[in-house]
Amino acid sequence: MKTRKLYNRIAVLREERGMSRKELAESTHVNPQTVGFLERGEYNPSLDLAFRLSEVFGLPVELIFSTEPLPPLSQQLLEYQRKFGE
Amino acid sequence: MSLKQSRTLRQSLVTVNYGSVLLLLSFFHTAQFFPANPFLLAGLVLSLITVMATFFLLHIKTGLWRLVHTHQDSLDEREIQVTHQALRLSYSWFSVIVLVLFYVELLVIKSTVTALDIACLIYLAHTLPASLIAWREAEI
Repeated sequence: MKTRKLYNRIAVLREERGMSRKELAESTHVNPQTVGFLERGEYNPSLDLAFRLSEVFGLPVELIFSTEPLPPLSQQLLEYQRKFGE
Repeated sequence: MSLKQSRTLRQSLVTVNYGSVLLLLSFFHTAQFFPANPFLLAGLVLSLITVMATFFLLHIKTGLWRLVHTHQDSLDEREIQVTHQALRLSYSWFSVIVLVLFYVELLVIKSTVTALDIACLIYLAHTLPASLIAWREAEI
């Protein structure tokens, strides 16, 4: 079964938090090269790794990953707010 | 660009490494008909040095040898996936190469399989997974 391309915001979220790839790798128990592969969309993480990233960034998995190109995060957060309230 | 980042450079090293192994075998088998020929002996020695040098650059300096020989518990999920893929492909390739080599040596050339042939096959078995990773991966 051919895997789908997954889009993600890992690079943006990492930069926002002033984390290096090494720091993110240590937080999620992977190697820094794997973080690079994740950011470029060249590797799809397991569910466990996706949840670890979600815990590190404090955001739901669906705000970090998507099967379609991601809109700006601010736009998506506004939609979330309208949908689910404060 | 470093070896870890340049796939082209790594592919060249894989080609030179295995090409040198083939040359080594060719010189060795030819030398059996022309013993003590200085050119064949020089070719043998140069091939062996090239194999060793390219092995060091490709497998040791890049950390690939460690990657394919490390226990699974010390690898992250992506590294496990990459090494498993390489091992699966290596098994197929190695089986075909061994069958072709034995067919050619025993049935076509009608030669005997020598200790150097076996040593080269053992070398191939040990290095093929790492060589496949070096060949296929964009970055290591």
